[in-house]
Amino acid sequence: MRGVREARRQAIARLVFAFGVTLTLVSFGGNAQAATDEDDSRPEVIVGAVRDQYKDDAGKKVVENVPGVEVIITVEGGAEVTRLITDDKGEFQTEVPDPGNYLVEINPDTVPDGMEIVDSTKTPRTITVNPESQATAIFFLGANTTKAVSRWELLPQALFNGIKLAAIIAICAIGLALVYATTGLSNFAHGETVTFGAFAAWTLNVKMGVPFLISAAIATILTAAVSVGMERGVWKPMRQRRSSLTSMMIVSIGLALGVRYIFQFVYGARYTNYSAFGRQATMDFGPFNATPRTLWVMAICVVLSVLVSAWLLYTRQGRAIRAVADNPALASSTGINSDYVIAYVWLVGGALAGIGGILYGLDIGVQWDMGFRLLLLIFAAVTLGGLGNPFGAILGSLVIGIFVELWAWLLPAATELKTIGAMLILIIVLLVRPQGLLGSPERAG
Amino acid sequence: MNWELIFSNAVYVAFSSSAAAYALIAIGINVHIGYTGLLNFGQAGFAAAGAYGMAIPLATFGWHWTAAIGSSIFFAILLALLLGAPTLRLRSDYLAIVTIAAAEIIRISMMSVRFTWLTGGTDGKKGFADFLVDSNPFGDNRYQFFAQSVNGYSLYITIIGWILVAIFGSLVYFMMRGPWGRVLRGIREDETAVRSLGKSVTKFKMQSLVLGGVIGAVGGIILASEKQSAQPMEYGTTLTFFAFTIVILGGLATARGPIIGAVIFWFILQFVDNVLEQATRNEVVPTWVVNGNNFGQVKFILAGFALALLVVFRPQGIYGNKREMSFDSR
Repeated sequence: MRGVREARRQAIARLVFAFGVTLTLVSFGGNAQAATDEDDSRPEVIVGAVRDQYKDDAGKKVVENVPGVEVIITVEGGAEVTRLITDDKGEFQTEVPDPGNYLVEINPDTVPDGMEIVDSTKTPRTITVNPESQATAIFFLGANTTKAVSRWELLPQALFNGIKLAAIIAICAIGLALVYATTGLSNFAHGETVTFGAFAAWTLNVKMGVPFLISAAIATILTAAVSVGMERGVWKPMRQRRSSLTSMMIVSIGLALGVRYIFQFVYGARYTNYSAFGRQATMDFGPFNATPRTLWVMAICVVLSVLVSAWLLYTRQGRAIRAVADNPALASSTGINSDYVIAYVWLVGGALAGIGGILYGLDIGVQWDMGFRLLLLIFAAVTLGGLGNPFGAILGSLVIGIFVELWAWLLPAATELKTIGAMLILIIVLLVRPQGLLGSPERAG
Repeated sequence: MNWELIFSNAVYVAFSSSAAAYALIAIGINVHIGYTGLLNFGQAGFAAAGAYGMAIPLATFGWHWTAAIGSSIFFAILLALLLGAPTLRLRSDYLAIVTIAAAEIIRISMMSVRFTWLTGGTDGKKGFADFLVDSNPFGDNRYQFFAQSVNGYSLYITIIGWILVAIFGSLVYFMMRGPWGRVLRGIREDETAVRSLGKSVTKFKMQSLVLGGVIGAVGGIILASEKQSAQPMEYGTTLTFFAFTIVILGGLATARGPIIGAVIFWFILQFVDNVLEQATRNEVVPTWVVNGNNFGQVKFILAGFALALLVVFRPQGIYGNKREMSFDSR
């Protein structure tokens, strides 16, 4: 009993410590405050703009104003109010007679050649005008690139993007698979480990002005340390209390939820970027384009995956990990200290997840729920490859990453549905081969 | 700091239609995880099936409301069958991963620009609540609950919600006392033993998944009816894990657990939220600690850590029986 109480006390102390680390990072974050001014007795106004948004050759996002586009404003379910033409700044403005719902629509015939209304911009769009206030409607046009290029010419690029995504998923998935193999825990907080890596690097890099590569290195060490801290502070005491895997899984979900919203609390909901490697010229490789940044991201992931595989296959520690994964009791009887091995797994898994987060942040920007959004793909990859098999996780990542981008290529009009493809393939594979691609059948049982 | 408003609002929310909806969703989860030991991480998907299953036929195809509610139940049953068929024979973590994936598939599809004409996209599906507005006996009157003012429509949905909670709560209570419930508990404790008695474990698990899923769908209907809009963002994983927190807080495998849990959970969450809102507005706390932009996240942080701490330190919750607590039995 004393032992349990002691373990409980230590667990709390360690949780508090983990909190402290998070809060230290937190205090360097910042929150932009939005101020709105309200003005009395104004008429009801609809303002808006039409913008052309595209990426230039350097991959930088450019927004330009589009003058001369006709905008039609109608009362919802009623009569037309007015037609406006956007001015030199691409903007339009009108007073409307009453508060209420209005339909704002771009006349597609007036969109300049070479541009088209992008799918994410809704037109006609219903906007609500509140009494004495103004409502805003901004429309985005994009360069009409699909006309010139045939679908098949886009395929290599889709495959390339798929491999890039797969590389990032893979190095995040290895840690999850190793932890599952050695402890049986499906760690839902793994996504937050990924986000932690990205935000640690971002805080050091942007808020504290440390050069990016040094911040990335420190962030990796920090993430690994937090990961081991969680093992020693939460998971090991829970194992000692003989908690079931289900309760450990639910604890990991609770921690994930709490920590994820701590990230949003501290850093807000916006995307941010590191201060380095932001704008880069695209290099033309014939069938596909890539920035040097992307190539580095892929190279690092591939090299790390190979190194970790070699480590697992050919070193003493790697063999010890596989022994603990196969049969913990037998491993212990041969003199392997399984607690030490499990701590090692969390260390390596955490470091890899941290690197994965940093690289994913480099690729798409740093955001509070980036790890959580990646987590479902990581789980899909790990389950697909065979739960608990690190090589299976790498293979599964390749399938998931490529499938996600191929889905987007197949259905260019519905790219927001592309993660669905990954989840569908997961469900289908579970139907026909529940143990996953490389899993042994008895594990599915 | 307006303490009267803080308290009266928190009490109002604890008994509001949202709390009733969460209680229903948690009763469903309780059937799955509490009584049967099924790890359903996709309860939000059932709630979404309920909400959209009713909203779309009503608003887009103009069905009668009874038919629309029927369709909502039909979709919940269909979802349970689709999810259960491949996974119920496998180990429990497979069901967990497949259900969470399926719930996300539903949410992302409902948000898709492609299907906006059908699902309302990110704005949510509106225009289905006429039958509720028309049948509302309280009209547009406003009712005063201390400092909190409540409109007639909200009161109407709140009453419907709690009646449904009472109906489904007692349904589950009586079913679980009977032979059917005993088989479910048996499956939770020892599948092989139940199989040796000649019961089809997969069939019982499927029935449990359907029952809990349908109750979750009814919760989804209440959630959508209150706002007169089915909002895709509401049916994310957070909904599922709030319901988990509620059911563990109240006590797994107890009939009153999810109901009491929902009331306490929403009271605490709304109370904290109100205090922070007032504190930030009156600048009682410095803005670098918490401000108008981020106080809303505190309730999610609390809920998450509460879930983790409850499972570690008080897995039986308020009313549960530690011996009956399902996670640690295997």
